Amino acid sequence: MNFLIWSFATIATFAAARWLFQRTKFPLLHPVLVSTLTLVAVVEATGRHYAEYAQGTQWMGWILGPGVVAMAAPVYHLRRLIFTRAGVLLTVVLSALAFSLATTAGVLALCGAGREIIQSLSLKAVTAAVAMAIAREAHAFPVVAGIGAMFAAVLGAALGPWMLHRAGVRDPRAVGLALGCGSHAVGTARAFELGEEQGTFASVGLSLTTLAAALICPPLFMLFLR
Amino acid sequence: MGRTGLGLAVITGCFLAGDFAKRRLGLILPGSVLGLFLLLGLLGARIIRYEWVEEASRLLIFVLPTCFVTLYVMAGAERTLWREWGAVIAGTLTLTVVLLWIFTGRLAQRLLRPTTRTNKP
Repeated sequence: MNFLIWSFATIATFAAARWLFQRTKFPLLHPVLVSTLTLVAVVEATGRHYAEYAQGTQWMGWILGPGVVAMAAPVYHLRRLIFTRAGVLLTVVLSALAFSLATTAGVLALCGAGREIIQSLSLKAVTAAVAMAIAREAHAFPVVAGIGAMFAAVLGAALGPWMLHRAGVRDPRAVGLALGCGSHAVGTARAFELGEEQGTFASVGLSLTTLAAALICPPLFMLFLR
Repeated sequence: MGRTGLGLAVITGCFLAGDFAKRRLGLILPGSVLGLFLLLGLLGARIIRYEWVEEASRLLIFVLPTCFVTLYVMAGAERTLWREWGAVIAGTLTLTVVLLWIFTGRLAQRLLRPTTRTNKP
């Protein structure tokens, strides 16, 4: 019964939130954010346990695995663009990943945060499915890693283009890469709204950041952030 | 539907193979990521054709956000964490995400400048 109730509640809430977002296009009404907050409110208001919700929607969490594998298709599709500009793209993506890891870990360490929080939030620039998988392997907090990724994504949709314009970033390819590397899939969707060139480079940024993080972060966490 | 079904089977197969390899060999990479590299390898070697997985991949990526929600909701259970660290986490994320966009955007703009715009993708 739990399975039916919570699965239906999640799918229906997300569908409604997606409809609302498509009608308004207001970034802070992003369907992931709205449906998460709505469902948390429902769990709290009905006095149910979170464990009950987790049990009822376990099968949906399993889909994240094949979902990560499915990202191979867009990476393969963009292979020509990636090979043509391999040097520049790799430099930008690896620098962005290193910058993201270093700044997040640095600020959190200064604030006295523990290893699990530092590792989890250092993955904010990585698409949520991969960030959560890496956090799980590192025995950090997968949920916090996912929240960090969602935060970066929603912030990217809301403020990314405006902030980049203010910072003097006007080249559409650079805008796309910044949104793809920093705000992953949601940032990429926002980049496509700005133009095809921005969207294409955001897709490349997202794809390469995902691959680079998947290869670099697990051993890095094993070596330095244990 | 046939092609989508085939694609879903291929993608799920890669995931299960990656997960099996991870557990069997004790690798540090997540099984799903190993599956991603396996599928990339199969596509690159043309053992799997892109058209076979294109629709299924789009479908999975489309439903992925719904699956995230089920995990994000679990964050509500971490009350102590949010009470103690909520402000630090929100502040750090906002600051570092904005810095990351600016760093990446300016670096990309600088490195892409010498190339002529005729090389558009």
